[in-house]
Amino acid sequence: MAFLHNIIFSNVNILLLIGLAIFGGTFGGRLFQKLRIPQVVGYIVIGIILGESFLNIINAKMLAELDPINSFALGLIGFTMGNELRLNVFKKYGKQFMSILFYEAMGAFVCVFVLIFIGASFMFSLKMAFVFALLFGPISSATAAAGTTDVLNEYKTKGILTTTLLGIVALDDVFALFLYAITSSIAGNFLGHGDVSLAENILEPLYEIGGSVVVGVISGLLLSRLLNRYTDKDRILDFTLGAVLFILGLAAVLKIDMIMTSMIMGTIFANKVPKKSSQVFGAVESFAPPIYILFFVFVGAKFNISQMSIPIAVFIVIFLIARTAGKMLGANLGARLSKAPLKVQKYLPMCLFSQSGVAIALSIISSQRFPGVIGNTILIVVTTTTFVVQLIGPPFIRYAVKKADEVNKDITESDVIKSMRAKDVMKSLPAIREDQTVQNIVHTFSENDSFDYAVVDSDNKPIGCITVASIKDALSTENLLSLLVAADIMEPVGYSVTPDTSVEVIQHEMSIHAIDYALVVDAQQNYIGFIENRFIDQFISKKMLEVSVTV
Amino acid sequence: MFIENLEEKNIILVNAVDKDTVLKKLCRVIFETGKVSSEEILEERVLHREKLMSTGIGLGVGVPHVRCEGVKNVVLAMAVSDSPIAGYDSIDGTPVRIVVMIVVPEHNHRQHILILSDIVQLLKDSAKRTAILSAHSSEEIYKSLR
Repeated sequence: MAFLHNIIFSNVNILLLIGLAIFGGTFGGRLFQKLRIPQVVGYIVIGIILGESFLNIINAKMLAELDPINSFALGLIGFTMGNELRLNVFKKYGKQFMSILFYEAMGAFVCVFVLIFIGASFMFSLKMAFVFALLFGPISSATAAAGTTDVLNEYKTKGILTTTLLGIVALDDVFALFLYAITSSIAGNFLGHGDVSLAENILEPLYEIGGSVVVGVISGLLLSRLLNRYTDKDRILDFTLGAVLFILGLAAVLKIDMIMTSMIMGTIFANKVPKKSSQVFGAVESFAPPIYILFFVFVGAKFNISQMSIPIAVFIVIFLIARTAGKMLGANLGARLSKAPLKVQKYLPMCLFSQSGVAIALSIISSQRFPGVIGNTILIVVTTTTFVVQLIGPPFIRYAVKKADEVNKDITESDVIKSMRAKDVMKSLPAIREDQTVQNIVHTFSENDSFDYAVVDSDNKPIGCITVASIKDALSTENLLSLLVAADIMEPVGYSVTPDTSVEVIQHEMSIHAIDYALVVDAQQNYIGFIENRFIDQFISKKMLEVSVTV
Repeated sequence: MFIENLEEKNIILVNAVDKDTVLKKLCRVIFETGKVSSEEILEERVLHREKLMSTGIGLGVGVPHVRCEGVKNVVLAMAVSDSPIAGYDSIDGTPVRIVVMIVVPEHNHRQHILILSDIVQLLKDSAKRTAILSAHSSEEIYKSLR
């Protein structure tokens, strides 16, 4: 068995690993989706199976090598979140966001601080317990975008709960960074690591945030100018991904916050050229899923059951309970005080469990600044709780957005097209018989409002199509009018479909055949209807209008 | 356009024939030019078109015309009969003696209409028709069209 294990897994290279993670993650995601559980949970479960706890295909060394993929995923998440931070939304809900943000972050901080202190005091000295409380407190206040946006995208949510949630998630990292700067400095002084002063500790996050704002704003403005010139989807995607990667690398060099920088770049871009944003963010969202899958598979793989000990297990339980309770109570209090809509008061508290990027980063900083028991404990507890909340968080968000009636409200044109079939857009226009004279055909055109008609044989099988252009050619030669029949002036059948053919496929085939119509036939190939490109456009416009009215 | 596309070797003289026979003879002439991949398909198309509406355009002229798959270029052929062609109906009831067949690639819709129009225009000229009918060889017919 060990021999087999060596053959199979000892030669796992990065490409094989990435392929395995994406393939397995997608499989797990689909499986969980069928069980009505958000796909992200499936990705994480596949990660656990591939990780050190079980198959050991992905180990800690590999995870360290693959860390740039995590940064890329977080950068993409940050960038797309930037699209949600619209100036008009802030003008309208800014006060409400700030109130909820303050109370939910402080709620988690206070609850975790108090309960960790109490719990730790039974296992460690009071001094150590106080330090643990000071370090766990701010880490608990951050809420992750990863795991939140993924569920919102999957269920196509739109509404005040979604807007508030995205606003909070985007901003509470800043709060966590500041809080950590203050408390870690106190903890350091308390333990006698007086190498870094409180002022220096506060200046560091100030630099991180200020640097992120400056780099994010400049890159956002440059990207807006650049992308405004292009309409080609592929080129737009190339430039955008290049910009996100460049910004992430630059943030790493400058030691500023990666997610915040890319988020600000996205925000500036979305507000500067709002008309272009759906195309740009749409292109990124169509590219991002495999990167997100890798990110969540790696979250699962980080979980290592062998690192568990009784104090760590106790910390994990306390941290989870205190953070959850603090966030729920704080969010509810903040929403009520700011007079947020009832559904925000009621369901937002269930949506803030997610934890990853900033919390993990702060735990790594803690492990470096406080090496030994404190650092290791914080690292393991935060990694494990991240894994747990990423598992339980998404189903709660799904439940909340469903109850708040915000599911399937963020419908794009491409969603509508994907859901459409030929039968939805076809018109049962009369067909022209192949022996019909030009005079008769002109009559058919004048009686109906279509620009194209199917031509059928005596068995009602489509054999061609007559367009306005073909009629125009025939009419230009007056001496032929009485000599021509439909078969003489029709174009051969370009493309025929069945009523259940997807409109997405029809549009693709139309562009390949360079035509703007398709004939619809039944199982026996009898003509039953006609589709023009403009029928599709009309249907999409109607559907989009219906969706916007409902929202 | 008509004259440029008609070759002298594609002009035949026929006598005492019916409509189907003359159409099949013209299909053979066109197939032999090598510009049409299947004589069978061409024949089937030509005869089917005649069923939809006779191509006897009046003044003793018939212009069978089809767009057909497997045709590389426009091909024309002409048959002149010494007597009325049996079974060839025309819109003015005049017996048909001159038949010009037009075969065009399937997607050359515009070219099809233009050649047809050109032939109709040319053969409206009674002097031309008389010259064609009184000719004794393909060469004479070809010259009379010039």
